[in-house]
Amino acid sequence: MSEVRLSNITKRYDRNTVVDGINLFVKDKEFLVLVGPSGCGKTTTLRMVAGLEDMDEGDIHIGDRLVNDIRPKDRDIAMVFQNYALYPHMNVYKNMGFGLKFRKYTKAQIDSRVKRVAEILGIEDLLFRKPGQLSGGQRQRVAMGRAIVRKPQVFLFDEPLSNLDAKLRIQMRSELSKLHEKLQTTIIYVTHDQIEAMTLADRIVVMNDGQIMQIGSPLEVYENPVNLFVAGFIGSPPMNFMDVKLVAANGQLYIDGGNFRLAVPGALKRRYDAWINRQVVFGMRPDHINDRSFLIDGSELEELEVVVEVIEPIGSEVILIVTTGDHQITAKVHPQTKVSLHQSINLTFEMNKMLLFDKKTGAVIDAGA
Amino acid sequence: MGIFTLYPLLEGIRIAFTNKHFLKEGVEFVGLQNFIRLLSDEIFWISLYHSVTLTVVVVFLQFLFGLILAWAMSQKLPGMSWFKSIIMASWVIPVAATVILFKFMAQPDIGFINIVLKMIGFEELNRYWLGDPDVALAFIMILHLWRNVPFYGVAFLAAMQAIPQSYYEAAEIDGAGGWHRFWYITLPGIRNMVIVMVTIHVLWTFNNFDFVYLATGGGPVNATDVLPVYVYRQCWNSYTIGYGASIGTVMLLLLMLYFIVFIKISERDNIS
Repeated sequence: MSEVRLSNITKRYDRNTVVDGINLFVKDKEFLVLVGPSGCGKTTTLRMVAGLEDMDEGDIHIGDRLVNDIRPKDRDIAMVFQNYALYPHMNVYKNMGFGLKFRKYTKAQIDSRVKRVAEILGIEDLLFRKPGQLSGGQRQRVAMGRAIVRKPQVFLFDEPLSNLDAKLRIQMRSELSKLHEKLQTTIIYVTHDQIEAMTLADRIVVMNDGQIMQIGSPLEVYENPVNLFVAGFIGSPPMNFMDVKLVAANGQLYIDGGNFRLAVPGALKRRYDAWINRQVVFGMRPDHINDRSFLIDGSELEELEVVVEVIEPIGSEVILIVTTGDHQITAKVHPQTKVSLHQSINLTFEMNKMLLFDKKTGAVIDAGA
Repeated sequence: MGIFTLYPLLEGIRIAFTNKHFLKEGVEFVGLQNFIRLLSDEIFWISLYHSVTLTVVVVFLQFLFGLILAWAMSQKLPGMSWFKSIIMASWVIPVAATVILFKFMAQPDIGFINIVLKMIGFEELNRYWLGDPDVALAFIMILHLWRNVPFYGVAFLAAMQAIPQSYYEAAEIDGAGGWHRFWYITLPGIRNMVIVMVTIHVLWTFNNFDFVYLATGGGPVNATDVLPVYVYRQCWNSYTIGYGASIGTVMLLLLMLYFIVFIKISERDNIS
């Protein structure tokens, strides 16, 4: 069983705590993604699992072994680095066979393994080239091949797609998914790209400032973020946040934005009852805001008049940046929406998708909060 | 460029085919006479042997010790940055000063080397190190090493630091221990610097005049005679410039041969 358990992992550089008491359980065969902005501690955490960094506190278990004092080569892990770290003076074959050489595999065993993995990755024709003669995508595959050949308990990926161009990145993402299906091995994957995290992960770990903000499936962190950070980090374009007041009138709750009011769906009344007349942050994803002329039935819709400031047609949709009063809102609307700059239009908000956050703590306001 | 390099070069080769003499009037073209004389000149062959031996041994040892020094300097030890800044002192000190220093140290009885030998119980080894035909050349080699090893060390260290840390980490995860990481990553990583250093030091050491001339003049009894010093004596002691030029021409040919072979070998390695 190749689960990984991180218990209270802490890492400090002088006075700076870069990883702060992380607790994490990675399930066997899971594709777990650590995602967060630069400096959040995700790479440091990964490197501590690899054994490339010492921990100041905490324990790491790989399988059922405590690996704190075990050297990287004995932890049964394999790592793919951001810059691939291919040995420049060896050809692809030797790069891939390098790790097996030190584990006393016979030449025949190394040969068959390397060739088999090369076939899986489609790099059999490149075996006798040197890294300098390969393209970025090819190098990336060789780096993965070097890891796969080792048949480790856990794969560790450190932003492996960051150095590729956008198109290649999308292609490699789907290949990585298929590879995971095929290899059935635990993967811990680090990225700063939330789209990568959403598309690849079985579970996502959102990190910020050395701490875990939320762990959950991609859908969970998208639909039910636990705080402002997660809500704003996951999703593109990011969620709209507005400082508003929650008011009650005629037995109904309203979001009061100063120059507008939006009715809160009845079903959510109980959740927000305790927050009446308090300052809260109103969150609504651009995907849940549309142009009035493309009304969708069913959801609780509220309308808002806004002024169009920026129009970004991206083909599949149009991104509008609009203003009302002091608020700036991003909306992802139907691709055939007809608008012009500085025009006044009406946008609809799917209020059953709304989120409210405590302005002071940033935590989402939930039932029983 | 042409004036300062090409003219002296061609003129030197031209003189090798003449009987030019500083103290005699008239210069005649003598064909290969000087070169034939070379073949039976015992001192020429001794000097050639010393030149080649000196160059091969010195460059090899400089490479080896330079590598060790570079590895040592790459360790994080207290005082290392101070050490790094003073280590080039030996290369910066003028050769003449270095020779004077070592000549004093080599003095019998009162020289530093002999004092230390006496202290550690090897009093029977007391001698004038540059006056003993058996050890004088070896002593000259030490002079070369003392001067140049830090230069190698600093150059190799710079090359080592250009190697990305991630290569070492990947190798560590792959299971390579310290020595293997050095062999598979450090050495190939500094290969280009090694080629540069070896190339220039072979040329410098083979052509090196000052150490030998100032320390021993080529003696005792030709024990440290090297080709550059022999050329000098032929031209400025015996005034037979024609003959001196022919020895110089042979030196030029040997070095060109080395250069061509060496470049061919390193190019071939690069491509494979």
